[in-house]
Amino acid sequence: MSRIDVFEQIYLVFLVLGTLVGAVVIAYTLYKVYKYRAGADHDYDVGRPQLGELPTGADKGGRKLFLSFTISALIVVSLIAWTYGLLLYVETGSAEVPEDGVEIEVTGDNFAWEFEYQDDQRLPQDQVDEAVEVMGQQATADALRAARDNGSLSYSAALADGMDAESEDDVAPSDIDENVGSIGSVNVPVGREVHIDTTSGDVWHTFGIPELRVKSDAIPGEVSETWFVAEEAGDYDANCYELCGSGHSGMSATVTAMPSAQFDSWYAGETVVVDEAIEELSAGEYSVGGEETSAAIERNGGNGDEGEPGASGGTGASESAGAGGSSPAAGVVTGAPATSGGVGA
Amino acid sequence: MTEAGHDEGHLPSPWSIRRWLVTTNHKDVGILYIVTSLFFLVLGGVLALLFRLQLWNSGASFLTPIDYNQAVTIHGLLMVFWFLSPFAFGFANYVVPLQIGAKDLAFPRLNALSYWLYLGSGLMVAVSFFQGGAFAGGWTMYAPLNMPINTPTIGGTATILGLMLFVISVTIGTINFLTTIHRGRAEGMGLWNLPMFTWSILLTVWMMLFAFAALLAALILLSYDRVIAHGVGTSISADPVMYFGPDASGSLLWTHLFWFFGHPEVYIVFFPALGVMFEVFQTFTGRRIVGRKWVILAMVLVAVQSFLVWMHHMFLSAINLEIKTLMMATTIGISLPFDLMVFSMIYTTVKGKVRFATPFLFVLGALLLFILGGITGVFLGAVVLDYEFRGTYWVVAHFHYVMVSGVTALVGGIYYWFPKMTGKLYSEYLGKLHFAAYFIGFNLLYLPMFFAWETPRRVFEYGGTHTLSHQLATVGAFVFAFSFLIMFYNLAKSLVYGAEAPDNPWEFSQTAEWAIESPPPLENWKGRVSYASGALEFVRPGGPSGASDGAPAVDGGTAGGEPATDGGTLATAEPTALAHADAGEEEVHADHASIWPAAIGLSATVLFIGLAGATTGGVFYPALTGLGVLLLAGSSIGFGLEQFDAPEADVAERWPFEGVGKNKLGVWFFLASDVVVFGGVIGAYLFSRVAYGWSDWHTVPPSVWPGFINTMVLLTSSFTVVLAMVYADRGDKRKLVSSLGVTLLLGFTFLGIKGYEWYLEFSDGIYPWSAIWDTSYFVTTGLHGLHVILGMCVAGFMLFRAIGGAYLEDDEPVELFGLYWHFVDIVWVFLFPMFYLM
Repeated sequence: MSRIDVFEQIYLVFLVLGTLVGAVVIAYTLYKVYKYRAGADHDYDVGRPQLGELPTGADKGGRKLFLSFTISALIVVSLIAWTYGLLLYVETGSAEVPEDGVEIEVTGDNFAWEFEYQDDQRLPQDQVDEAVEVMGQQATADALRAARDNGSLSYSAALADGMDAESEDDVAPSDIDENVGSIGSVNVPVGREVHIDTTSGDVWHTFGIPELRVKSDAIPGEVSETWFVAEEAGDYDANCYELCGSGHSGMSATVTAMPSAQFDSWYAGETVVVDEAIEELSAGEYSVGGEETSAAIERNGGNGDEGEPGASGGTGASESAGAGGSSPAAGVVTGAPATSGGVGA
Repeated sequence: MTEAGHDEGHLPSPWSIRRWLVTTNHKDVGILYIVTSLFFLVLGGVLALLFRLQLWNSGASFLTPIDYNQAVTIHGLLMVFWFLSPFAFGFANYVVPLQIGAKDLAFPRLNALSYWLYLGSGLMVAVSFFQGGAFAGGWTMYAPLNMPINTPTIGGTATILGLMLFVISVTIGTINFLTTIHRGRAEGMGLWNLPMFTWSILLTVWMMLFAFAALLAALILLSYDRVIAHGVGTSISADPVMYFGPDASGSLLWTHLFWFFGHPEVYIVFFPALGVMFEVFQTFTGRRIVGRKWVILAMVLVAVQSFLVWMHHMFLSAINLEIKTLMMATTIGISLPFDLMVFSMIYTTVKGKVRFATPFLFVLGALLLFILGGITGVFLGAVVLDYEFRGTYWVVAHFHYVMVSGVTALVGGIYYWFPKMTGKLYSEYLGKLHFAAYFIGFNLLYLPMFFAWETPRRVFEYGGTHTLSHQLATVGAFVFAFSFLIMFYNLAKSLVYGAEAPDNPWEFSQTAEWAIESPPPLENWKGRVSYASGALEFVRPGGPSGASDGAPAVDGGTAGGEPATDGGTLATAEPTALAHADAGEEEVHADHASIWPAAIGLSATVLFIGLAGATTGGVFYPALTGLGVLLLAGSSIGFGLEQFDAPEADVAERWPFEGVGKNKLGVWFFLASDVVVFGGVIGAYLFSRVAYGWSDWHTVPPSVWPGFINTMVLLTSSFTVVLAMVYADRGDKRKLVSSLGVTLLLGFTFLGIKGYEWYLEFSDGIYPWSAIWDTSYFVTTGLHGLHVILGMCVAGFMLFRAIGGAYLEDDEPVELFGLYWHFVDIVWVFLFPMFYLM
């Protein structure tokens, strides 16, 4: 059940019941004030307020009051109790990223949305390529291995160390991309859970994709977790829902949902599997700008590892994503190269 | 029959400006509040028209983004703070004393002072547009958008300080109303017997006492961040730390503090409207309120529960599921009493004699609008739905429906009480015309917002699909605004040309204000009001017992029963028959005029304007600050030295505060509020420390000893203050002066030791903005130090007066000062372990 289903279910029930209750109560009220208008020729034997009396309540009407109150209370409480089950569904759903799920960190900063895929099995191909160009295959392999085997050493720190030593410029860990990232747009697979961890780089924002019925506050210093599923492919707008300054109105992004296989291919094209890369680099066989061979996709694909986009173990064409602009070098391209907007094998 | 004679003699005529500058009479102050709040309504409304024009279609460039954000922000602030509550309190000022049988509020000069501070604070906000731009971060002022780096203007700080000044005004007013209602009720009027409007005001001020104290704490911390940490810190340290910055969950800290205030606030603005609704329903249906006792209980329940729901404004902000569930439950819980109240009103119409006069039209309209608004609120209470409604026009439409339904009821109140306040009848035809335009405009403005609910809040451009809804809303805004012009015209014209209003123009009205003239004389009535017989009577002061004299003072009332005697006083005839001669020597004379409230109001405004730019704005602002301090000192001394009598009635209901004197009760209420202010600031420290990591926190003072010595110094000074009171009571002037003197000396010692501590810390490069623990330490102990300084100003003033021979007859001021001083000491007893030992 997607977030859309959750929302639509409850919203419809609330809307129908709310309109009904509102219409009934308002109609009843208007009827009563009309019926008991002073012009009508009735005289009821009831106490009426007198000037100067100590305020007391009415002599009649208490029972009807209690009846109406109890009924409305029951309606309201039941409605909310019913939604509690769905609340649990949404909240527990965000607790764990499933094996075929995608985890994305969303950061609101400077009136833009930044996206970063959270993946500890893969690194951006461009980044590894750059490391190789600066310090060579062996050093890159050593750095990656050190980071993989040492829990407290991050890939960015390891690569930065090595590259800083070799390069004339200063290279800091913050200059290294550990994950595939983008600003202003993001790709997600259709039909699989996407988990977003939202935070802010400056002020309070709120990230929301209205058509997918998901929202998350972006608070500096905090991380909010939620999830959604896009059942249909297409482009979805994301907006900011918390006043954040003069650029608040224009703070949008595009979420592109694409078929699962296509997403996997695209993502595979953007990244290298760390273990694979270490092997290839140690053997001196790493190809900068090369595509993952279909065999490699098959080897590393499937839904085995958490957070890793599985590949469609298809035959034939591997994808060149064309990102980063590096030309395919030594890699062999089999089949027709296609852009990331194309159809996966 | 008009009252000439000595009562009016102390006050200039209502047609002179001087009258309005010096008056302390509750009716005058009420009119001042109503007129001023309507001015802010127009100002806030014009801002809304401006941004509704911007929203005519997406992509319009009528306002620049930053102008748009300012308009949206100040619209919200002005409407919530400077229009809604003051408007309601204009009525409260005028009507509550009349309803409970009091001649004025408990502290008339403080009442006037509340008004002048309110006016000054509102002018500050209006002027802030011209100080580089007003605050532009939404009325909710979320952090870190409220940090100076993100909203850098002096105008932004001025908006915030203006709000702080407003909160001070409210706090003074709250203390006044609480003391009045709890100590000034007529004989025979227990709390259960309070009229519905007075009940609603009583609960409003109880909520205000605690809620606004929390807001004051938040504003103090924010002002520290903007004026000191940013204003001073940036020139000394590279990256000054701020309370609401990213260290230690500063954003969430603001949100918690603000919404803890913010949720009770919405009931604070709505309750008076609810009170008006019950009064008007009763009068214009000709039936007593159905389930009255339950309605009162429901209102009490809401008032208490309002402090337990605030996180429903934060459902998406990384709080855990258990807390969210709890808040969901309490939120739904708080909607239930409102259900009861709505049904009570509806059933009150049954077997009634409903007359559709303008007040009732507005109040009935308010009920219908509130029902709609309330139902849409239930949507927001379902957390899963709230996840999607967050930050959208659903929220905007919902709260405008409920809050402006409150405005609608209060407009009904204007028409209801206009004859009483002015002695003229408004035009019923124009009133009905107003209602038609108003109701159409209201729904044309806010209903489309539900259809366009997916529009994000506070955007100045939106996607194309909702253009029609927004255009309808813009048209509705103008219709709605225009309807107010009808009202202004009606009231102004009626004031001059309207027919004379009788004492009681409304059949089936019940409360005491309708038993006296329209408008009432300055002191409302001769003698006092009494309900001891079960009905309203005016009891003459003094006089022989035995001779009975006519019916209870009720117009067209019940069959004349025995006049009530209660051991020495007479029941008189209708108030209109009271003769001048009765105003005899027995009647204690009250004062009604003082220039000092206006003077203090002006001084405080000057001071706060100066503070806004004192650290960032050249020479002008610090000069203004200095001038403000001098003016404030001078006018406070003038206020203190003035002889002003505000006598209480001898006979009154005072439960549950029978044993506590009026002034002492006022001081207790003030201290209760101060406790919550410190609670907020200390709570901020605890929150920051937990968010940062309790054991990773640093203790700032390098040594425990100065703190320990200071603790002893303060405790000793509490002892000497008690001695001062004892000596004053005994009439021993010399010892009184010495004990006051020693207290003052000990206070200086405390400040001296603290000053030395701070000097050492500064010279080590430890500034308040150096790290988050430094911020907590300096600001919390600094706030306490400010309390010490203020206490010593009072002590110094008292010492000076004691030397002149004061307090030997009446030692109450010394006792009251002692209460405050003990409070200051007790706070330190908490702060010392918190900051020195943990």
